[in-house]
Parts: sequence; structure tokens; C-alpha cells
Amino acid sequence: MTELKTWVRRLSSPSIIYYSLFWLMILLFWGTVAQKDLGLYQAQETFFSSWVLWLGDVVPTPGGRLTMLVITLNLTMKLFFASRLHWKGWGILITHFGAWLLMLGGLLTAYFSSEGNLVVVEGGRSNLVEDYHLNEIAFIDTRPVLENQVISFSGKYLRKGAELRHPELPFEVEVLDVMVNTTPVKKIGVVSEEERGMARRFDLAKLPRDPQSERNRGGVRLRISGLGDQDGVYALFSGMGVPQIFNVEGGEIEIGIRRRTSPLPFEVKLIDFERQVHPGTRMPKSFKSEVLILREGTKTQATISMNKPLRINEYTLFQSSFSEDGIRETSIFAVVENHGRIFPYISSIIICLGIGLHLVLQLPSLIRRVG
Amino acid sequence: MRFILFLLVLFWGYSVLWANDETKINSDVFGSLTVQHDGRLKPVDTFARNLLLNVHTASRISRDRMEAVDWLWALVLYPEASYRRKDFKVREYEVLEAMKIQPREDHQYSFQELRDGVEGIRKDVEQWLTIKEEHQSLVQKHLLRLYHVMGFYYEVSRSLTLFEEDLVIKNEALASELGLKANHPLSFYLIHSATNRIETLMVEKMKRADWATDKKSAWSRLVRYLSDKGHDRLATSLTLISPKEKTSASDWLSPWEVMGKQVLSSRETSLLNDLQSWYRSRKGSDEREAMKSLESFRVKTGDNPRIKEELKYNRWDLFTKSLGFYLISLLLLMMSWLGWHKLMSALAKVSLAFGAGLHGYGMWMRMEIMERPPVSNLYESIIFVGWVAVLVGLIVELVRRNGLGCLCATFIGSLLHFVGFNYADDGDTMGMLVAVLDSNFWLATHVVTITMGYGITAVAGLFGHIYLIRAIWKPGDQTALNEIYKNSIGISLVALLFTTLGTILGGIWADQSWGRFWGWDPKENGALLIVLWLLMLLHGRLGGHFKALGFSVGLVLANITVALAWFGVNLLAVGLHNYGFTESIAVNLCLFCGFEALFALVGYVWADRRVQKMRENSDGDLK
Repeated sequence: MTELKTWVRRLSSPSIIYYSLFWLMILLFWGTVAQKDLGLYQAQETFFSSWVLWLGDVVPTPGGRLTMLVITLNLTMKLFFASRLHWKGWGILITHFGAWLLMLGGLLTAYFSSEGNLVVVEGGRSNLVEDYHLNEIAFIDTRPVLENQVISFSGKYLRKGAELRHPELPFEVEVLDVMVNTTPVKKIGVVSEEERGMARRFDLAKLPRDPQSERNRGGVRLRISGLGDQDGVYALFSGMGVPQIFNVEGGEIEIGIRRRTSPLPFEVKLIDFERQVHPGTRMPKSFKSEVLILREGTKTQATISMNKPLRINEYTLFQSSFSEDGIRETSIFAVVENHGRIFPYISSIIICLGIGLHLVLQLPSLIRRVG
Repeated sequence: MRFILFLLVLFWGYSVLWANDETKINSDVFGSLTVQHDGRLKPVDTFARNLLLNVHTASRISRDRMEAVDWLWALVLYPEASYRRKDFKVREYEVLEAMKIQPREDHQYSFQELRDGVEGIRKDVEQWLTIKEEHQSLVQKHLLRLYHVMGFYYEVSRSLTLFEEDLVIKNEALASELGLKANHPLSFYLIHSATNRIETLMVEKMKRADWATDKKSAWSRLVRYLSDKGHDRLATSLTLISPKEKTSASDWLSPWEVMGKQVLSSRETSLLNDLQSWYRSRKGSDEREAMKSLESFRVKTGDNPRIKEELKYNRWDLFTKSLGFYLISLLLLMMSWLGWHKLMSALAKVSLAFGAGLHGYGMWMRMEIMERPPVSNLYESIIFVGWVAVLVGLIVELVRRNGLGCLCATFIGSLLHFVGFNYADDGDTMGMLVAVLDSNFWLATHVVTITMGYGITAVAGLFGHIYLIRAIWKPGDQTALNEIYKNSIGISLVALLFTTLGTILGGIWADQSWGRFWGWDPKENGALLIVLWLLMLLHGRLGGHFKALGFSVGLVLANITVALAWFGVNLLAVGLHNYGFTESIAVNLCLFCGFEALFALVGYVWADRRVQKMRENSDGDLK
């Protein structure tokens, strides 16, 4: 029992949070400055969402996620096992509880939230949300029986040496190379016998990762086997003008690399997009989209504008951006699914109440005049 | 005889004053006209100040004791003479060297000189304009900035040239054919308004073979005049003509734009006639007639209470006055340390309170003018943080009554006023907001709270400085040191409350606007940095990692976190909501952080030695 108490005391020690906060501050500063070169997403992945931060690929140090886990554990021990229930400490107790809830919400958001873009042309409709950063290899089966079924591979499958197999796919795929950012360059020299399609005329040149994630054009080299004449090495990149198509028994299968795409349980039809600027300038004043939400035979009209998103169950649609091609306008919505979004609201109230109470209890003695 | 002489002098004095008064009133009325610029309506006075700031890096020309509105008036009435005045201030030696202009000690150059300089390197300038800003050298940036300012200055100077009566048609037949008066000064506007058939007529006349030589030459002069003047049609910046339907989204038009319309409404014709009449009378020094025309124009364009408020704001210059009170308060406080303590410190507090009142009222006026909360850009955040620091200092002073609060308030209030004035020199401090920031609710909650957090942390930081100085100066005065230490803990807690609340509110705004509570955006990280630093200090104290001296050093360093969060993140130019980039920030920020780090280090080592020495001495005494 005494040993347990000793452990509780050790694990709830303010020293743990002291050193963890110090390290978190270093990560925060470093990760923020690194955004200039790495971009926000990559810096976030490297410094804040990582368990381990490798210094020069040699020395392991705690990443942001590990540091925050240590803080959460320390906070948990302090809050539930080492808090003194004296009235003078109520403010601190409440503050710690609010902070603990905030960390819990952060954990939920980190593991159970997703976000992406929904692009809808004026007059058009869509339910496909594209990830901001991650790519996938998609096989679109156009055989009549399968009605454009999409089989996609992402995450751990999108790495060198991965083998892509699926019962519905009548061939095997081996990933030979994956490029985060690439550009096709005209092939110079001998063309390998194995190379097929675009790979016969173009090479994919690796480009450095662009700090602005959306500017990166993913690329991949694949080996296809099991299709007889069509077996060989193929090169694909995001936004290829001519799709790579394979003839299979009963139809065709199209293959491409694109942003990871997932469907929404409803469709969004863009009725009208409106952009206002401050008079006499080109500075945007407001963006607004009139949309129709189509779900299970029902239609609901709604407006999505800057700072006024549309919430549908666990999904929230924000007016994120737009584009114009001179004929039609296209509205770009950020779609977020976040099961932990209520936590910051509750925890912020609790934290502020806690600090406020602590101030009420402590401030008079700290500011009072002596003598 | 003496009496008559006295009356004559009196009459002369009165007439001089009266004449000056009329000019002054005319200038005031001109300054009170409304113009739409950079997306908002503002008085011509503000427009003139901002233009002059860009040109002269000051809102008045001290050399000639000339106010901005008078300067603008001279510019639009006498552009050619203005081009010869040395109104441009260029301090960058390399820029002048590139334009092959001999630098002067007073840094003042005329538009004409600079225009000739730019002409010499026009090809280079055109090529630099195609380079992305981040790839431009510092000299290129400065030169292109000057080039844009010169372009805007020139455009404004041509705004009213359509009213300049600088053409006389001596050929009576031609004049009568056009329906104009012969041998009478005419302006582009008068010719244009007299006949809208002039272009058709010109084409017809030129085709006729029997066209007499004198007529031809008269025509030729007229055509050349119209063609030359026509270039000024592009001068559309001085948008003085209000639309009939006044909504926030309506575009105001410049006189050139209105005149260029196919059909003018009677209201528009009347407004242009007023401006023509004003222009003529003003040039003819008929002040009364000029004033009458200008008043008539102003009444027709309509009154706007916000414009009046902004005029008052410009004229009262409350922030300069509050700075004066803060400096007086600081002086009185210092005097109180020498003698008459009670009286001087009471006067210091009164002066501080006056300063805070004017400071607050100045911000209130800005809120009324812009119809938005007190902080919406970097300049306003500086002014607001200064005010918060003054209020916190004042409260501490009222409770403690030992001068420390007063010292903090006057020091931070004055310092931030100086920093604010520096930023105000960049131009309009009441710019419009981009769509995502244009939310009064979040500006009033998140932005106000976090900037209050900055202000209170700055006060806590200053307490850290005071502790170190006191520990070096009087290491044995433990009572006073403990008191400062306790106070700084209290202020740190208040700072923690506001920075935490502000940071969380920022997260909630992000969740409401962009769909994520926390995106590790530089501005968010900056705010979090202050929270973490304060938390670390408070927990380090509880964990016994340091005592009063270490805590005070930490508070001094807290100022670095505030500076990084407030200004530093703008240098990264990434993320969703940094306010904007100013090159001078980098140098000033480095200097500030370097100074604070050095102060903390030297202060710690010095104070620690002093305390050690004092202990050794007291041990020796005991032995």
C-alpha cells in the first residue's frame, strides 16, 4: 500500500508536468518554425502527431503525442489520486478536471476524426470527400455487372514493395515506387521492354515535397501481372490527362492515383455560389453557397457561408474556398467528421471556472498591500 | 492719430485672421468630404493623411507647417507645382543609387526628380514587377514600393484635372459650332458637358476637304487638348461622388468616372458643377464662393455620422495626448522618489488615470467608426494591449499604493504607444477585414481576451524585471522582494486565465469557421506557447524547481513568448490568420528578445551573487 502511495506521489508529481511542458514548448517552437519549410501538415505529422521525434534520424526523442500522453497520465494521477479536497484547492481541482477533459477530447479527435474537401460545381452535385493530404490507388471497374465499383488502396498499401490484391481484381499489382510529389518528364534513352502505357514515353521525376500539401502531385510505379499482353510496369500520377485502362474479361478496369476519397451518406447540390468583395477592392468580404442536401429521397435547402457552417449529424460543412473558370463557379467545402468536438466547449468552461475560482480564493492574498 | 493707427492695425489683424479663417474653413470642409477607398468610406482628411504617410512618412509636413488635407488640396489643384515640391522622403541609399539620384541629408526629393530617376531604369522596374515578392531583393522591394506610391500619388494628383480651365477657343466659328463660348477659359468637363457630340463632330469635320487652315489648327489644338487630358481618365482613386442608393456594397465614383458615363443624372451633373465651381473659385482665390460650392457638394453627397466621428478622431489625436499624460505621470512618479512623495504620487496617479481615459476613449471612437470590437489588426492590438497594461497597473497601484503599478502602467503604456505610432506610419489603421476574420462576435471574444492576456503577461513580465532590479539593488529587503514576488504570482495567474481563455476561444472560433479545434497553426501555437510557459512557471514553483529569483527570471522570459506569439508568427507568413508581414518586425523582435534574454541572464547571475554575498556577510557577522 505504501509502495502504491509512493508511485502515485511520483506519477502525480508537478515535476513531470514541469519537464513535459518544457519539452512540449520546445516541440511547439520548433514545429512552428519548421512550418515555413515543411508546411503545416508535414510539420504537424513530424512534431505534434508523432510518438517519436528522431533527431538526425539517429537520436529518438519524445514526439508531441507521447509528450501529451505523459501530461495526460500525470494529470490523471494528480486529479484522481493525489488531489487535496480542501476548499482552497477547489479552483485547481476544477481546472485540472477541465484540462483532463480537454486532453480526452484531443485524443478522440486525433483518432476518430476525419476531414477533407467536397468540390461541387454550380448546378452539379457530389458526395465524394477528398482527403487534403493522403493519396490512394483506385481501380474503377466499369464491367456492367459491377457498375463502376471502386476498389482503392491507401495507407500501408501505398509504399514500395506493397502487393495489392483483391478478390474482384483479375490481376496482381506490386508497388515499385511511390512519390509524394512528382512531374512527368519526357523519356530519354532506351525504353525497357517491361514498361507499358505512359511509362514508355515519360519518366516520373521526384520533386521535393511542397510545403503546401495540396500542391503535391502524387505518383506511383506499379508492376501488373496476370493480364498476359498487358503485364508490365506502369507509371501513374495525380491528374493524368489520359486514364490507364486495362481490358479484362467482360469490360475494362481503369486505374489511377488520386486523393483518398470517401463518400458521404448524403449528396450536396450547389444551386448558387456568391462572392462579395469590399467595394472598390478585390478583397473578399463574404462567400456564400446555396445548397440542396439530398438524402434518402428528401431535399433540404441550406446556406453555407464563411463562419456559418452547416451541420448534419456528425458532419460539418464549411465554406472553404472557390474557383472560377469564367463560365461556372465551383464551391469548395471543408467536410469534417469529429466525434470529440463537444469536449473543448465543455472543458473550456470548466477550466475558466476553475482558474476564476482559484483567483477569487487566492488573488486577495497575493495582491494585498503589506504594512 | 494713435487711436486711428490702433484701429488700422486692428482692422488689418482682423482681415488677416478672417482671410485665414476662410481658408481654414474651406480646408476643413474639403477634409470632411467623404471618399471611398480600400473598401471603406473615410473622410478626405484620412485619405490625405494616409497618402502623405506613404509619401512623406509623416501625417503633416512640418517643414511648411502644412496639414495633410492642405497638402492634398494643393496637390489636386496645382499638380505641376506640387511635382516640384520636395515632398517624398526616401531614406534608402541603395534605392537612390539605383535611380542615380544624389542622396540628400534631409532625405527629401520631389516627384519630378524621382520620376526622372525611375524613367532611367524603367526596363529594370518592369522586369522586377514580374518577380514574386518573396524572391525580390530588399532594394527591389523598396524601389517597387516607392514606384507604387509614386503611381498612386500621380493618379490622385490628376483626379480633378477635368475641372482645370486651361483652354481658350479663339476661333469663334468653331466655338459657336460646338456651342461653347469663344475667348473664354474652358475645362475638359465644360467642353464635355456642353456637347456630347464632340467626337462625332471631330470625325465629320476632319473628313471635309474645304476645312479652313485656321479652323484646322483650332481643331487640331482642341483634339490634342482632349487627347492629352483624356489620359487623366484613369485617375479614379478620389471617389468623391456617392451613389444614389447608398448601401455598404455600393461603389462610389471619381469625377472622371462620372463624367465618362454615357448619360449623367441631374444629381451627378449638379455634383460635377459644384466641383467645377469650387475648383474655379479656389483657384481664383474666391474663398467664399469656393466654400459655398464645396458645402453644396457636401450636402448633396450626404452626411455620415461615422465620417464626422473619424474627423474628430483625426483632429483630437487622443493617443498622442494619452502618451503625454503617461510621460507626465512617469516624471511625477520619479519626482515623488525625490521629495513631496504623497503629492507627487497622487498627481502621477491622476495623470495616469487621465491618460488611460483618453486612451480608452480613443479606442471607443475607433470602435464607433468601424462598428467592430477594439482589436482587429496589429496596430489595434498594440494600442489595446497598452491600455490593458495601464489598467492592470492602475488597479495594482490603487491596491498597493507603492508606485510599482504606476511605474508598470506608464512604462508599458508609453512604450506601446511609441510602437503603435510606428505601425500607424504604414498607412490606414482602419483597414477592412478579409471574410474569415470579419466576425464581430469572435473579434469581441477571442481576440479581445487573448490580447488582454498579452497585456497582463507583459505586466507580470515587468514585475519580473522589477524583482531582479530590486534584488540587485537591495538584496536584503526581503519584505519588499516577497511582496513583489507574491504580486507577480497573482498577476501571472490572471494572465494565465486570460491567455488560456483566449486560446480556447480561438480554438472554438477555428472549430466554428474551419471545422477543427486545433490545427497547429502558428498563431494558435504562439498563444499556446504563452499558456505553456506560464503553466511551467507555476508548476515549477510548486515542484520546487526554482524560487522567487528563478520565477522572476521566468517572468522576464515570458515577455519573449508574448513577443513571439504576437509578432513572431507573422514572420513565418504561413497559416490561416497571421495579421500580415512587416520586415522591420524581424529586426525589432530579435533586438527585444535578445535584450530580454540578456537581462534575464545578467539579472539572475548578478542578483544571485548579491544575495550570496549578503548571506556570507550576515554569516560572518554572526560568527
